[in-house]
Amino acid sequence: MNHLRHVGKSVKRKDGPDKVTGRAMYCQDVKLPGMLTGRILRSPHPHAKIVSIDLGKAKALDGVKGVITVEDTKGIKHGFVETPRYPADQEVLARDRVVHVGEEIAAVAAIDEVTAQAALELIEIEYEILPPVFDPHKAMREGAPEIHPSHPKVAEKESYANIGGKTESGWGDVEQGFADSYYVREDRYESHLRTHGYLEPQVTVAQWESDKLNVWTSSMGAFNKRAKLAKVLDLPYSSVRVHKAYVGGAFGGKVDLYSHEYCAARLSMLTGRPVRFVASREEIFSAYRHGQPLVVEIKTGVKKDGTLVAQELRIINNSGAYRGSGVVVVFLAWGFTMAPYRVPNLKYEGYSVYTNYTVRAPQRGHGCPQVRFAIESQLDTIAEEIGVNPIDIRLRNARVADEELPNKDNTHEAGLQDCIKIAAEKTDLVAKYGRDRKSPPKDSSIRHGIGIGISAYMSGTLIYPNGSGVIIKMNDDGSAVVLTGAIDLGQGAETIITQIVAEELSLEMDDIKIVSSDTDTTPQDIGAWISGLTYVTGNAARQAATNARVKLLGVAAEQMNVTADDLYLDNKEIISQSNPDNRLSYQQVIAASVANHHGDTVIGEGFWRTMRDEPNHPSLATTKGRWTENYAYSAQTAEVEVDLDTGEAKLVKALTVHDCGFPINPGLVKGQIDGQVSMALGHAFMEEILTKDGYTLNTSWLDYRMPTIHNMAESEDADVITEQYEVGQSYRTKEVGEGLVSGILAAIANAIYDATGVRLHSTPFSPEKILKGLRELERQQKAAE
Amino acid sequence: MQPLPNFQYLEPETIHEAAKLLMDSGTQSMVISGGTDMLPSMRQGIFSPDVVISLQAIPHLRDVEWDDTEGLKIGPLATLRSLETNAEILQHFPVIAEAAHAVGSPQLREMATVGGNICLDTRCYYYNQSENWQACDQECLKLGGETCKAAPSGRAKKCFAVFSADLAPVLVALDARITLLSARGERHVDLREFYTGDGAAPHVKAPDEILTSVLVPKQMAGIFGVYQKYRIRNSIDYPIAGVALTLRLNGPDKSAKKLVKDVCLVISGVASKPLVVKKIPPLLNGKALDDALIEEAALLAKKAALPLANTGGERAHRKQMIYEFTKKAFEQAINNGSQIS
Repeated sequence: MNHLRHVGKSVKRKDGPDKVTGRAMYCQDVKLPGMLTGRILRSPHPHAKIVSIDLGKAKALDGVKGVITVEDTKGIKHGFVETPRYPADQEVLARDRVVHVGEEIAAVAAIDEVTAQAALELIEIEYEILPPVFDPHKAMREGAPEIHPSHPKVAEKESYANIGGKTESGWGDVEQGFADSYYVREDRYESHLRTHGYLEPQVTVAQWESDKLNVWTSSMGAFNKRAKLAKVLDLPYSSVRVHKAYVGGAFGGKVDLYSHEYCAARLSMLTGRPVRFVASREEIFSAYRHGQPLVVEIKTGVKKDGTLVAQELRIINNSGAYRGSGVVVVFLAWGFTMAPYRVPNLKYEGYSVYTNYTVRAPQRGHGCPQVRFAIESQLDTIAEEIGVNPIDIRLRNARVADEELPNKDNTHEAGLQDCIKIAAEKTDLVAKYGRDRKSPPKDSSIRHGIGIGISAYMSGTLIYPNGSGVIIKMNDDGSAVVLTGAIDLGQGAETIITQIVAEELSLEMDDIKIVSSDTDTTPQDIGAWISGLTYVTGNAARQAATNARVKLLGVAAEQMNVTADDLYLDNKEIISQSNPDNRLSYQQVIAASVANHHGDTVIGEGFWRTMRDEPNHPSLATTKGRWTENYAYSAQTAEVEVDLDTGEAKLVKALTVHDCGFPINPGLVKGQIDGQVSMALGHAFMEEILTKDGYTLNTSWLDYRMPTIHNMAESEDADVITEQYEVGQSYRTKEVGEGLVSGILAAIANAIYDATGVRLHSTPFSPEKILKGLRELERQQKAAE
Repeated sequence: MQPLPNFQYLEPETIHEAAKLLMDSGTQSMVISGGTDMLPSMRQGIFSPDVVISLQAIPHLRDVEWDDTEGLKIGPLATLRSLETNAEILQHFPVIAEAAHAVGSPQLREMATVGGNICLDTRCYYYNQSENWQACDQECLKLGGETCKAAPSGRAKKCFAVFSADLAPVLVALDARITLLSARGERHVDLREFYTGDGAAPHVKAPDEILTSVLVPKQMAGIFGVYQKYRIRNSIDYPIAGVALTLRLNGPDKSAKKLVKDVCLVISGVASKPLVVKKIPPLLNGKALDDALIEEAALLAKKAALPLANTGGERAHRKQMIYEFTKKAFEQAINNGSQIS
């Protein structure tokens, strides 16, 4: 029996009171005496040589305390990926050449914003314009303007230009597979440029204290930021302290090191005063990193019953002006392809192509929505062509429990089959599917449709810092302080870690004080950007609590003259099972530990790492090596309404059936699901970065349309519980924070088809495209008559 | 967005004092009422006045009154929110309340004013950029460049920035007249004539003139009106297509044979001014509405619309939406036929 008091309950958020009362400190709340305002001079050109820079007038302006260019740096490069194959590729400020609009060229620190802005306008730069290229297919052509030379490993075999990296993988024999297939089809799907839409802008405060740099910065993991910042500043890690600050949303956009973070630090070191940078919203829309639009070409062969026989994918990523996370996306796109369905013969190649767009960052789902949109759309098309319903074709191919994947990962207790079945039952999908196409309502321009999409997401992989540690300090009175490097950016990290510690040590939530995300005072942590925090840091917290519990039980056993296995914990007391009157409070046990164990105040230590037998992360280029220990599976359905007059489609109801293993906090899980459904809704219908020649046209919240409360859809969910949590034992939880933006996007596309017969091959699902599709159907119908 | 630049802020207590200050401070001064559009534009560096003259301290500029001889008088500082709930408006011109309600969000409507909506600056992706980004792409005609960046050819010498107000097209359809006052004197202008159609200089108000009053003539009271707005996000967006329709349906009984009288159709968000579709009255006045006529009217409206893809949505789609929403407006008129006289 498993009597859990905290884990598995929707307890209130640990950070809730601070956030609702306004006490929570965000970077913008950090105000230090003598603080200067920093601003960055950015390239007005997508591609140009810098002939000369004249800082004279800017430096002479009253109130300007510091101006830097690349000449004031050590020239050390950084990158989202830093591996032998993909070494760091970007300097913190542009050297000799700019390769995208908004690239950072110089930075100013001044007494106020107006002065800093005025100083920027006094910097004189002479450019020599170079030809830019924005379309990835054009950029790949021989003779295209060279942004960077193609990766040497690719250049050995292929003549494409501007290739930042390539992922190649596969198994079986696809040609034979297609030859053996009953039905084969090829399609092409494209996705568009979106951004993260974090409400808190990018903010950094840096304060240099002779040999110590204090930093507060918008991030998704303090330890990753520290490592990159220390590297480019050429400082030891011990000289850089990244302090805790709450984060107002990130969605992938705050992982990388940004130029303004370096500039804040360097300008503080040069001026001896604290320096703050706050990016304006126009800067974020125009110059910061966005998501990654993919072109997915997919050829699939199936048997008569819909069983997948072979699949061939070619993916082109328009990955912007430096490597960024572009080469990661073309690796991940392979993973998101092979994880949900068994494909006996697969050929995969993904190219990350440099263009003169801003650099790309991870964005919630990191390639998954783009890939699932393609695969799930095509699968529905195939199902219809061969006369199988959308549920049967998925059940036939969906992975089951305890399957070994081609990369030696294991699906363990995968609940995908159940997810699909429950989604079908709850929505009555098979009965509803095709209804409005078969018998269109006569007196209405509104059509209803339903669609399904599935996805799988990894739950933590190996990338620096690779492991998480947690320390629990017991206080004399029996309460506890938890030290964790985890960062709470709204997902609830502090709450779930507290729940786990409370459960393991039989404490109340309020007995625990959490100290988090500070590189000097808390242990190293993987960060909140690799979909593994609840699994990795959570297990470290559990282990730290176990460590403290074992110590408490040991001391209590001595004091109570029983063996430790006779004892149990209950509400800050240790009680003998054989004689419940024999009991000691934690306070008494800790006092005894200090008295009898050389002053041991009872400190628990724990650490965790995913795939502990794997030396390293998988190869981005070949996909060899294990990727993750836990796959989170899901099936999502969308019910839509489409207005045939205006072409407007609306998500009316979403259902998410997911296998998150075991929900530590169901309320937080629900929050993640609803957030992802609304984000996918924005992806599907309204959010788009519009550009012309590398310039962002819509640089405000007014013109970049994020959904408002009026656009939300009803979002239901159901858990497929595949794992259990037991005190004292390691557990598997699965990712629930980003994979669920994917199946729902595909489901919306499939539902629009179901409502109208219009098959969309690109996002967003705009009224223009739907109307165009309807006109085309009318033409086809007339031609047939 | 940049910090708000430095400027002198003045708060005169009479309208004549305001007019004098405006004239004395020259071309680098601007009048502010609600500020919902002006302040963001100042922070973007689109407007950079040295002197900002507020009308807030002048009494009675926010009054809304019904005058039995003239009609409805609306002060320029009346907030859009106040129009939504004003009893005189709901009684005589409910379509004004409807259009005011279609603007922005409740927070914006609490601040935004009638005067501001009428004098709303035109919008365009290439124009509504921050100062930094204007420096990147400096050729926008309205910002002093030589050609319009939004025009497909890139060589047009005309500005295609879009007029996107919701209230103004309804007031045009209702034959509203406005009063402009300056230290040089006062003049009355039909709102229909107020707009130039030039995105770079969208209206005829001189820099030293202040809009002091809006009059909706008494003769228009009781006319049926509807405002149809197409936008993506209902709580915030400007219209991608806006359609204001006013008309009377006269007939002996409740039958469908009522005849159209005094029809006016004005479209918004698809040109540099609220566009009166001039071919509508000759097509419809004196006739009974039917599907074929409505179809023809909607096609005329679609043909009149001149949008570019410079504020959201593709060109052809925006024209198509004028067609769809014109149809919806007429359908609403027919459905309300029993109440229209």
